[in-house]
Amino acid sequence: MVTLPSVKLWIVDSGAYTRSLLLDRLSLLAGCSVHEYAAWTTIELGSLNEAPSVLLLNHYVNDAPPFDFLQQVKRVAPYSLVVVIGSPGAPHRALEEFNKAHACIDMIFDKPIDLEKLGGYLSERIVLLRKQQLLNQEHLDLLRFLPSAALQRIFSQPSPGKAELFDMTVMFTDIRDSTQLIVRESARHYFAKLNRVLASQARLIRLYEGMVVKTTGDGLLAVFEGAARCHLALKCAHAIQSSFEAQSTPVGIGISDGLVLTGILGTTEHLHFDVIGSHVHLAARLCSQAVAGEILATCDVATKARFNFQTQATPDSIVVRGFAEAVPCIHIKI
Amino acid sequence: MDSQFSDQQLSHIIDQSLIYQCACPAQVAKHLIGLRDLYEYQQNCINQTATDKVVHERIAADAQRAHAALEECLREVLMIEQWDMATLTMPASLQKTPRSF
Repeated sequence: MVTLPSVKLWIVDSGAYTRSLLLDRLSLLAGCSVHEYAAWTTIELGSLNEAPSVLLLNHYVNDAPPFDFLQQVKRVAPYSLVVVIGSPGAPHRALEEFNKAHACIDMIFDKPIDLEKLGGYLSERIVLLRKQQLLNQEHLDLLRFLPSAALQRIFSQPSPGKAELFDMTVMFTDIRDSTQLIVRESARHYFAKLNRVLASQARLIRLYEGMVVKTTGDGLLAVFEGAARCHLALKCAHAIQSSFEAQSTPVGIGISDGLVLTGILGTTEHLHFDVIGSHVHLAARLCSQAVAGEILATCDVATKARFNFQTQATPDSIVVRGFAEAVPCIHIKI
Repeated sequence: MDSQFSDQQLSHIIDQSLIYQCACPAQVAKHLIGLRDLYEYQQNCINQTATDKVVHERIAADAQRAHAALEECLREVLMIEQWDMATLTMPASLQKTPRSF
């Protein structure tokens, strides 16, 4: 049985009596952790993790206008559900005018407060939010394959925008001459072939304890972590180039190793793991220069790998855009 | 750095863990590769000051000690699991469960 994640619901209400009524009713909603605030002016919204999934603001005409706060909530957590309870007439029209310009409010309820109607609406929306959050978590789970203990920490508590430095071996793969293949075989046929090739690569990356970060059109970006990461990455690249799929659909592979920034990007509605840094850029450039059937790795990777390829390996020095000096590399042909 | 196992032998041990579920000796082998890299890095790191030299020597010496301890650990583990020490082949009894992907 799948357990849906819990969502944060904030009640902001300067009236103690109505706040307690809302708290009593909404505490009954399943899958919610409910927090109450007497005034939005006391709330600090630094990051998405601090923001609510659902904000319920009971606005009084004598309160300070909440427009800046509502905009801030949507800026920090664009997919949060913002519900405002306002007085009918001019206050309601003011909220609608503001919403026309800024689209920060998802629903406006008029006073007097109908607790059943409000509770029913929130209950339905919260079920959808929880399902969406579960889908996002499953999406991350599918991507991660076999992350190391260190990376598992990032995945188990996704904190969008927070980056960590890791020593990683970065590998890019890319199908050579894909444009010609599309023209020759039809786009539909090529798409099916691309799926087979990438699935085969992903299986090998998992076998060699790497992690697919993302697909990149005609290839993949993968990372390897840990003491023998260069060894495993080069063995993996070797296995990819020796595979049946690579024989029929040639690929080029670029590999680099060093510190990269890793983290989760996006919002609670769409999260993905990514890596950035000069070594990611370098591996991508090496991949673009690798000919069909070739692994182009930095000499640093080859040295650290301590792996006898028993294939043709040619040292080279390659000028890479963005790097001041030529990068010592090794061409490995299978 | 003195060693009981060559790079190729470590690689061979890791290869077998990639096929079968018994990955513990391979875990040790991977850390040995890491320690060899660490030792070499310290050997080749630039000494700009006297302190740099002391730091690099200290790390290299401890990497060497850790390497010797883990190599001995690997040797004993392989013997406990009854690997063929000449070919470094995993015994058939441990090869029963191919890794699933």
